[in-house]
Amino acid sequence: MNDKAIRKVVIVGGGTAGWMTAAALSKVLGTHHHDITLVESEQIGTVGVGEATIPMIQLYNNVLGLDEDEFVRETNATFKLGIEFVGWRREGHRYFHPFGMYGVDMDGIGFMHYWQRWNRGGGSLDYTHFNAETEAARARKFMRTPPDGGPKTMPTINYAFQFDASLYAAFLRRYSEKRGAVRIEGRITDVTQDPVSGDITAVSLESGQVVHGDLFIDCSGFRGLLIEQVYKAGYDDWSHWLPVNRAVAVPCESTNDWLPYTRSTAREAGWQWRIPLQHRTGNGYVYSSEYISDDEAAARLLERLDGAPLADPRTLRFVTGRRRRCWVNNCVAFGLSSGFLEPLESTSIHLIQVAIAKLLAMFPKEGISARLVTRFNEEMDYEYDNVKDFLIAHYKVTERDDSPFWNYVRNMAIPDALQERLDIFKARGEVMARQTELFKETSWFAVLAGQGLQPDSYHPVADTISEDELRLRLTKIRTGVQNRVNGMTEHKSYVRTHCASPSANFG
Amino acid sequence: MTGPVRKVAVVGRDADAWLAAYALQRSFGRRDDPVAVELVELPSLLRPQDAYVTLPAQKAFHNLLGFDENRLLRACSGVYALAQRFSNWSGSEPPFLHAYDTHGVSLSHIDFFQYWVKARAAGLNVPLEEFSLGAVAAKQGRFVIFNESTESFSRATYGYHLDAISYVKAVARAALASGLKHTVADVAQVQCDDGRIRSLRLTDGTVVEADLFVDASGADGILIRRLDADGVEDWSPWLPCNRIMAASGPALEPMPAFSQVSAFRSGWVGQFPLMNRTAVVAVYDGDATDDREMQGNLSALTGMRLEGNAVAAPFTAGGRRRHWVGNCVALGDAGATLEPLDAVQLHLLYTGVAYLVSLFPVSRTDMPEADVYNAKMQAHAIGLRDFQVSHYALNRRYDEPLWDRARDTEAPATLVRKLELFARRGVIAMDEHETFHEENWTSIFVGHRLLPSSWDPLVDATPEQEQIANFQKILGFIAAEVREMPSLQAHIELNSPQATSDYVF
Repeated sequence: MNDKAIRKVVIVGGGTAGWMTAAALSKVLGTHHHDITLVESEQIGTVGVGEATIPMIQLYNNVLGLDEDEFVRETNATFKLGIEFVGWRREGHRYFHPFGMYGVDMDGIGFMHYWQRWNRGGGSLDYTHFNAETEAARARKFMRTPPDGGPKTMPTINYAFQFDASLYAAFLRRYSEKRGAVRIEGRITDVTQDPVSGDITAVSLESGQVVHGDLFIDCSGFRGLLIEQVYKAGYDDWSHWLPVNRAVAVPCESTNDWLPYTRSTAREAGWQWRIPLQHRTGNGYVYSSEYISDDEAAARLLERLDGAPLADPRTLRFVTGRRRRCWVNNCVAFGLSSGFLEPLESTSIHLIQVAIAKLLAMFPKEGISARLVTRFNEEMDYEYDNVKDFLIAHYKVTERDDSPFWNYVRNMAIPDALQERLDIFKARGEVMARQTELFKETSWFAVLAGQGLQPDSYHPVADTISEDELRLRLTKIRTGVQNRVNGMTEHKSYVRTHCASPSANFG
Repeated sequence: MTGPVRKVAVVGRDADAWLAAYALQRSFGRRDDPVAVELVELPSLLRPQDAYVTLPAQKAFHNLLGFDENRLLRACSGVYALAQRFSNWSGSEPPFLHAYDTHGVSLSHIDFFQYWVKARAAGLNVPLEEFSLGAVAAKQGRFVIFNESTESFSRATYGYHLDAISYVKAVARAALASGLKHTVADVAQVQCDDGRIRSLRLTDGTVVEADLFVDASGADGILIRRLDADGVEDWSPWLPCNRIMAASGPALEPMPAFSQVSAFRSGWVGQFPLMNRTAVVAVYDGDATDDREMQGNLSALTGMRLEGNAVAAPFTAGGRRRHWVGNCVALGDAGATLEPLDAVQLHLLYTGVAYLVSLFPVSRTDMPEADVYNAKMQAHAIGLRDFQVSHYALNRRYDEPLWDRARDTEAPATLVRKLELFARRGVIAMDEHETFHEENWTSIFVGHRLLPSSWDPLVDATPEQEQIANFQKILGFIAAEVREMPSLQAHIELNSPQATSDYVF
């Protein structure tokens, strides 16, 4: 047998990233030809505090073949139609970033061009009414699109989940172990490298146990036990664009309102998340320590809960940025060890999933090609860059001038690529997002228009139909949205009927 | 003093007065040799809870007045109604719709309804309304926009629900812009002479003289009663309710495409969707249920949390034998006072205005047009009354005094004629001047379970298989067409959009 064959995969660290990796590898690679081992220590906490996701997670769950209702039940999950942004443009303002599209594309251009034409002609029904997820969120409704989706004019419902990340990790651990992945308990105290290639050959545990491997996946979190502490892969610090560097998190009692969305509320030195689960609500204040102290941030968070706290607040520290190389030698970093972007658009799990998918797509059979490593790193850079620019836009495009934090972000210099997008958007109401980008036109429109950037014009093709035809098309689209939403049930009763957890609080 | 009419004084309040004055101003006030039209506006009786609920004919009225429908609806939170839904009028019978549309299509020149009667007798259990495009669209909250195939199949149309105060404001704005002379005052004295009105003295001392006086003062008929003191026929034996309460609830979502009229122990309660609220009306027997009790029951009867106060006022159904007496024409409620049922509000006004415009007196002295006018108006008023009475006469709420009495009271002869012929063979005995058509009468008669015992014998000439196939074709056609229609709410939102807001979620 070729001694370069990649047979033993060692995942360092449990948590969401570790177990998502273990589960995907044990399903896709299988454990007949590959040993999948995960080393974690119960003494080391995981970061998961309640996690909001984006619809792409369904791809991941589908690869695993998970039963969605079972997954929802097991993780105390609720359904999520988008994110509500409160106070981001200015105090008291709110907008919704939905998972689905506004209207439908027509004649090769986006719906928003038609809407803009109509709006400029005096039409006052705002664009949010042409999106089914937004309307359903308003009505606190949820329902999966029925297999027979009805007439074409009825939009499908795009959704993700809000779940307890530690339960998700536990759920995936059971899944992985059933498929033959092996979990080893213990703290890693030493790493052995091949003196010639520099490849990691084994990690040693406190207990003295030595775990050998051909490929090591670093899911150890912020510290990057292998990727940084062994390989010094380096880190691009983005905190001049995204200055928040702490989060204080606390769960609280559920208000039992069963909002099918995550809420992000802008605060004096950052923002506060609110993630409703079946049994409780996850909350956190993401802030910059330059503008508010840890104690004050925790105190402000506790003041602003809408239910009694269920635990002591827990503070996390991070530096926003990206590992310069996620893959070095035979070590690949996933999750927080590969970089950190604040969970403003719920991208953390997505970035793990993307990395897993790319690794699986490029999975080496024998030996690790340097070209492949470069390609992987380039693609991950692209993913991080896109998300990063989208996040920066939330801070840059604002009218807030009520605190030093907001004055800083409103006036800060931004990446050239983002400035170009904002300019294009201003000129014609679209950012010309590439096919491969995670956030498409609807997302950019929802956020940029929501934050207050009004386009000056729209695509000329929108002018080619008659006024009556325009109104008729918009009426039909609006009808489709209404018909879809009218057919949906209350989010709460949907969960109760399909996927209630034993600890769910139905009030 | 002979010669043409030079001056018309319209005395009245609210929609009756403004619509009448504006219509006359548009028709006669803008000619080269204009007739001077003056509106003496009496204090309004409208309350924020009030709404006007109209028949499809109101669209023609608005066209006559040159209103842009979309702008008008926007101004008064207006909503289209394709039908009225009646519930609880007959024990446990399911609710039925009176849609402004026909049923099915004729086959071999015989009305569809005749085939339905026969099929029903043979065991068909599809309600008549399922064969009406308008009714099915209404049930599904749709707005009918005709295409080539529906155009020949259906005559679906719509009436309006209009917020009363803002509607009157919108009409008044247009009327004043047209140069209508307008005085706000009360009438202190009506000077009569030889069966005619000579002049009015207003509370501010002004004297208003005119050749023709239009009484649009509402049920009181403050001018016409001076010429014809005993001219009102009491209709309360047939329309026994004597109180009307108005209230307001939250806007309904999704927006229904129909009015809802639900009977209860001592009357009925209506819910009329508007864009920004739901107008609620109760018409009841105040002797059986007092205002306090009525107010207490209103939430339960409507199933909605009411906003603000409910307000009540007395009511007596009745109509004048002559709407035009001497040089005075009573328009709207001054001519006949009907319940706000079947969307007849403002309809008699429109009919009166239309006839007055076409029969406008050529001479200020003798007005021979009055007789023709009166015959037509009385026929219309009686037709509307009978339509309302039929709900009472055909009710099946047993052991409730109001409803038992309503059933036991001998219906007016004009209605008895219709009921009897219909019960025998499903044909409506139509009179010359009627507002409602055969399909309207048929809808409510069948809805109230008055089912013909026989049918047109010519129906038997068509083989049963062919009839069944025809029924199935119609049902399939309606289902497919309605599925493609826009929703009523979307249609309103995009055609007469309401005020915009910055609040985007």
